[in-house]
Amino acid sequence: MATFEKVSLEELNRFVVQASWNIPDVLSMRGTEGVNPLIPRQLYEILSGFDSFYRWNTFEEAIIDKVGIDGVAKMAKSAHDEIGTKINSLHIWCLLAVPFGTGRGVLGNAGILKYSDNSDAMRTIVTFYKVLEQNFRTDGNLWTAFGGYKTQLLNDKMLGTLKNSLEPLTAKTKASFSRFNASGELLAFFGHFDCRLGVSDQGPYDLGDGRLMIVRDHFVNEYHYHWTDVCEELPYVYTLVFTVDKSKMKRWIINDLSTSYPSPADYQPFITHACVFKRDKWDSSVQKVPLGTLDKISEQFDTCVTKLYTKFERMCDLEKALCGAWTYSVGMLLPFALRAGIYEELCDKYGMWNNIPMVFKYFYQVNDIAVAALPKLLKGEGWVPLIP
Amino acid sequence: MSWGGNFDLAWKKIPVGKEFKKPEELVAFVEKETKFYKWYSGYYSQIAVLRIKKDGSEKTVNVTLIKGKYPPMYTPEERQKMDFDKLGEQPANILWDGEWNEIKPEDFPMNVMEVILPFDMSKVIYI
Amino acid sequence: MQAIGTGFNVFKNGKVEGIIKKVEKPKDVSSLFINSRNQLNKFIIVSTSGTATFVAPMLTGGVKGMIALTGAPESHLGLLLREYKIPSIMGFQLDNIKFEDIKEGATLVMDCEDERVGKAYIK
Repeated sequence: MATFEKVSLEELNRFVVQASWNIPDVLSMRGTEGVNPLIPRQLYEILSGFDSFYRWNTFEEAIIDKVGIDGVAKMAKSAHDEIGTKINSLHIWCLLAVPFGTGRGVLGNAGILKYSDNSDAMRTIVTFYKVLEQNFRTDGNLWTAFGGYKTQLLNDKMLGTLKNSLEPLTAKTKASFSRFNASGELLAFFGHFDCRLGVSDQGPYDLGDGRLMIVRDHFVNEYHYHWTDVCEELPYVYTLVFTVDKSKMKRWIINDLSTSYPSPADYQPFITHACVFKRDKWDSSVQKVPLGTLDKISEQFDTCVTKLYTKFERMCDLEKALCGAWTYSVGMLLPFALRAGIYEELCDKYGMWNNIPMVFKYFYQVNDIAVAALPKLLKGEGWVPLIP
Repeated sequence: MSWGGNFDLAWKKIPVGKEFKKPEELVAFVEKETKFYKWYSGYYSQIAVLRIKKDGSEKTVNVTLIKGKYPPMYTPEERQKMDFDKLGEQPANILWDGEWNEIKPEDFPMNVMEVILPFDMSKVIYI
Repeated sequence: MQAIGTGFNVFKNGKVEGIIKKVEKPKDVSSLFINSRNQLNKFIIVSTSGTATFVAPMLTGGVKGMIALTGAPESHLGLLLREYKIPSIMGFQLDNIKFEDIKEGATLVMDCEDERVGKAYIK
């Protein structure tokens, strides 16, 4: 087992304090959305808390063991010259927020665990997060919010390549691009069980010519999940690159969840140029997609959404809860495990997909816990630091 | 709650050695010494750790300071009226019922030996 | 016109008029999609839930407008409605009328002229 220096208790608690402000910033209004009659979101979020709190440190230590801390740092830096990758702000943020939030926060609130439990594991989790975030971000900050709500990752070479690939939009291609954007985003949400892990924005990049450029990934076929078999004809990811007229935008905020909040909200009339890329698999090469093919692809997206809706309607709550929990407990670590070349080992040797028995022990009680505790968590409560 | 350390990693430790008669004086002191984090959803936050003398002994307590509504759950009408930038110019309030707050209004006047600001604000970029 | 409440306007749009359809369960959504697919662009959906995947076929089907009784523009559904450019009001607080008393088939007017506050009226 590789040794590495873990953050001190003081530093860990500092993260927790800042996280307790960050959570309501990004999620407090999400807490108003209520119950989803199709997908038991709150339920699966809490179930994923068990696995993330009790086991993520083991998986992360296995990753560090394989590639070293330098290897973890290198993974984070890959975001500087690649597009269409899940090494993004949201996935890194989740590695801290989920074990502390839906894990420790909610389960501690419910009395299922003590706040002092597992403190050494929490230090691994924060260390892993810190190494990733420090090497991922380019402005020395640990939260997007502290970096002026910008996620500017790409190096000049990559930015130049994307800028040179942009095409001016006609009325027709603009309509096609808008539809492709909306349909792809919906499918990406759907395939990830209504969480944001399938969608990621970065930018805004000021091109210096009156345009702001946004780079947006839609992971429309996360083929590591069994339910996305209906999407098997689609590539793993489409990356949309587009520019907006800077003079028409009051602000373009991108938060820690890799989510854009433009002002005005209806930014689409101000899109000037666009281009689209794809990767067939997570590690395939990036290929350009002609704008003239977007309408046909959008139809494929719509068909996949309809098929997924029918599929989910047929699932019982237990199955939907487990699938959703996997998008967190497996899905959030997935890009790092794949890049470290250790995903198969985490599945076979460590049983990453096999939820710990606590999940099943508490399954029928968790819904009441979720309804009571999750809204509190989304407001930033339940983040009491460790007792030394 | 506990930070688990001697605040070795703290950004600023400011010797004070005086009595704050009212909460407003403490708030004004902290506002003078540091910027607040500006969370675009509609609030500003900061935390200060105070080394205080009470009943002959010293201890540390945490104080959370907020501008705006926390958590930032505004109604549509409140959002319509809110000027987020102007909110930053208003004085902060102590979040009396917050999880990170360990003082009460009746603790004043308060004998404060040191104000510790845990977080490095030098790299923060404001929108 | 009867004012029925206010909520978060997802994006500034103007006034929109459509026929009310209500959804509470996945079956309501799927049967509307299957049976009335070609007419979805005339409907304003009033949904008890402000969650994204629940009403997904309504988005792909191109409804005229959406009112959700929960949620906010920052939630997943809010993000999608913005991208689909479907005039929407979320976190809608019903005033002087209950969900069960809203009559399907009646005409609803959504006032999305303000950037923040959305209002709705039944004709």
